[in-house]
Amino acid sequence: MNVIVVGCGRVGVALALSLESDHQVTVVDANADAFDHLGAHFSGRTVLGEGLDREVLLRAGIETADALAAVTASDNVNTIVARIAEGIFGLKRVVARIYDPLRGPVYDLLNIQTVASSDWGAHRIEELLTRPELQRPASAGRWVWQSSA
Amino acid sequence: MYVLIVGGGRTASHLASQLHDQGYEVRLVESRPKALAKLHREVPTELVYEGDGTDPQVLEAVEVERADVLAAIGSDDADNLVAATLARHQYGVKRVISRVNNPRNAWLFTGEFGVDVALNQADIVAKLIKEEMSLGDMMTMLKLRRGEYSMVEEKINSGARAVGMAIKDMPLPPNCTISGIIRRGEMVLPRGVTVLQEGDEILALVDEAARPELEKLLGRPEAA
Repeated sequence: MNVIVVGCGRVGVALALSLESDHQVTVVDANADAFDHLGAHFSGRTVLGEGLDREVLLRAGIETADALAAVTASDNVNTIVARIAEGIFGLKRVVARIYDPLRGPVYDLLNIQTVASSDWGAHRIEELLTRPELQRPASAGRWVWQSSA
Repeated sequence: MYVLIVGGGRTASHLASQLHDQGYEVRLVESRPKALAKLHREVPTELVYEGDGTDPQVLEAVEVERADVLAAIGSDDADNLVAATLARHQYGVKRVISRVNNPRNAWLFTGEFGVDVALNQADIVAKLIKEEMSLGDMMTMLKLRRGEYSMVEEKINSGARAVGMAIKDMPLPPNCTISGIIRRGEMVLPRGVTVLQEGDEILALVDEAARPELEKLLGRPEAA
């Protein structure tokens, strides 16, 4: 798949690195220094610019992309980027990362698939604390991440 | 009429004060503490609502569904687009006006994102500057109906056909209305008997066909 990752923060980097072995990955960020975190061996493409900028999205190959993840630090930027990908460029697989889970209704309304990482993290921690039988498989997530980094 | 303003920068505070003075019902939504402190000094405190204008709960708290107009004029384009999208598609606000901060984002400020009118400030200021630079050429100030009509401005050149003519005697093309004259910095409302002078800045509403015709009347004689 051709995958575009908009936002090269912690989530964007981890996502790009875990996708790169099996997919064509293009990472978009407005800050050139952010790409340093991808490391010297990153095999995907990087495109410098804002995720709302049509030209930047075209350079990232949005017209031929199969999937897009909007994972910048701004919920609203992620919302709009996801809407652009889905509504304007017709991508079928679009996910936006959001910080504020209380605003879930906005995304339902806009028909955007979201991952509220803080909400998800809180649930997971709760599970780990209250259901000790889950502890081992849950920590596997961390090994996976370390081994791919 | 109830006007809801999302984003409380300088423009918003100026707008809110003006509308409030004119008797409109106005609420202004802003969440940044610094901007809020300033707002409370500049506009009546009861107009200010502290909250994020892209949060549906906040919008509902200021009764967005009752708003006749929503102006999303904050300094972040994504915030403006989210506020506009919600206002139109969720709450059915009839008129949504939004500000484009970065001209590269202007392509998004359309009906898809709930925007009826996009004010591209960099573009507007650039146009005004070009207009002030112009020495006799016709400037487009505003395009209407997707460019079918435009509001144009041109200074009457020395020796132009229009100099000394009363508006009623001018051979104006169809679909051309002179809507204002700026004479020595003052706005003069045009009447049939108004006689045009060299140096007058003419504001006119024209369609595409009328534009070159008007240019011939106002421009340098060699261009005629």
